[in-house]
Amino acid sequence: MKNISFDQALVKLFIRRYKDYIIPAVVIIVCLIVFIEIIPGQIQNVFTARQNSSELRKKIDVMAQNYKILTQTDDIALDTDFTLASEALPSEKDYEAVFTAISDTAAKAGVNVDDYGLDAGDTDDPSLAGKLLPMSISLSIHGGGIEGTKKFIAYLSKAFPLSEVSSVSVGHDSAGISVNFYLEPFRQIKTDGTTAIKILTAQQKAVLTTLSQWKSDITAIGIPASSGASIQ
Amino acid sequence: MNKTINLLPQKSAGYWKKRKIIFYLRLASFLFLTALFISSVSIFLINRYVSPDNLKLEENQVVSRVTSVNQKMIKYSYVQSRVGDIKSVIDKRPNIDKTIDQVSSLIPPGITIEAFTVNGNALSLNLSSSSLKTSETVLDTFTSMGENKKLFKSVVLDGLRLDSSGKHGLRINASLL
Repeated sequence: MKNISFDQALVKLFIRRYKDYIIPAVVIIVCLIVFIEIIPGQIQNVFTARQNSSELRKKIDVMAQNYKILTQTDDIALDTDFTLASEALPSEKDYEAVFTAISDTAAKAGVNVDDYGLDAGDTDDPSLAGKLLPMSISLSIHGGGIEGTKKFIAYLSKAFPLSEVSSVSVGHDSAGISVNFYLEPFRQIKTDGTTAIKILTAQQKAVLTTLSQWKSDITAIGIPASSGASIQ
Repeated sequence: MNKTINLLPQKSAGYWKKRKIIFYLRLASFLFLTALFISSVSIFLINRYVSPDNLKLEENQVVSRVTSVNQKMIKYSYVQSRVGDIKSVIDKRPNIDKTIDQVSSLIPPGITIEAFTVNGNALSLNLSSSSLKTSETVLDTFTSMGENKKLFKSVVLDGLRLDSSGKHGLRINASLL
């Protein structure tokens, strides 16, 4: 004989008596629990998946667009533009290029560089990557007078690396010139598709054409263009 | 024979009330179950439809294509970022050689430029001449240009002297446009 306790017997009796109510009530309660506890989470998952898909779609579109632009770009023209940009605005302190530009320009302008003072500053700081940094040089030149100084400044404005004469003081046969040569430390370029590249604008192309023209001009008068950086 | 005798068992009013409650409970549970089934299937289908897994294959294909032009992309981005900064350098630098040219062309024969200083927009000129008349002509030219806002914003005669050799010295400060 089964040994049923009073409580169990009472429960069995209760279930037998109210089973018509209990079963649908349990179903409703379980459904409610599922609706309250599980369904909102699943709906949230749908939104998250949708957002992830949307982000992934954007990334794919960006990469596809980048690929399209790059395949339409001529390799040789890009190499030329790259060399021009690197020579005009180097990534590192290129003292050799700077002093070559100064001495060759001075020689062609018919002036002599007596002395100079250089203030290069700190360019190794990673936070400076991608920023335009000046490298200030004070020059003392003689010979050539005002005309020679003018020629020197004009030639220097077309020589690479790019420079800016901020002040000039010309005397009888000597001149003091303050020049800023510019450099821009290399900035890490993302190739993971999160950055869209844009086709060079007409304005940007015009700048490259100007640089190319200047390079031809200074080469024509015998000032060699500096050597630029390369990406291996 | 008595026609009012009902041989069917009599159900109490409470019984029908209970049946009604049970009917509604069963109906509600059925509706809940149906709703749960429909929502679960819908969520499953929507999840399958919007899942980013479908795009992974496409992503892999595009990534492999883009990887083949990575080097080119770096060069392109490099050129693009440099060109903007190169333009800003070119645009902001003063055209001092042109200024020297323009100012020199204003100096008539007989006047010597002793010193010529340009610092930003400030121009300072030291001139010497054996004739006071010529010095006056230069000063008139400069002030007239300053008044008409041609090349100069303002012109100031900073000093005038006569040295022992009989030469007149003229110091002009001007603000360039």
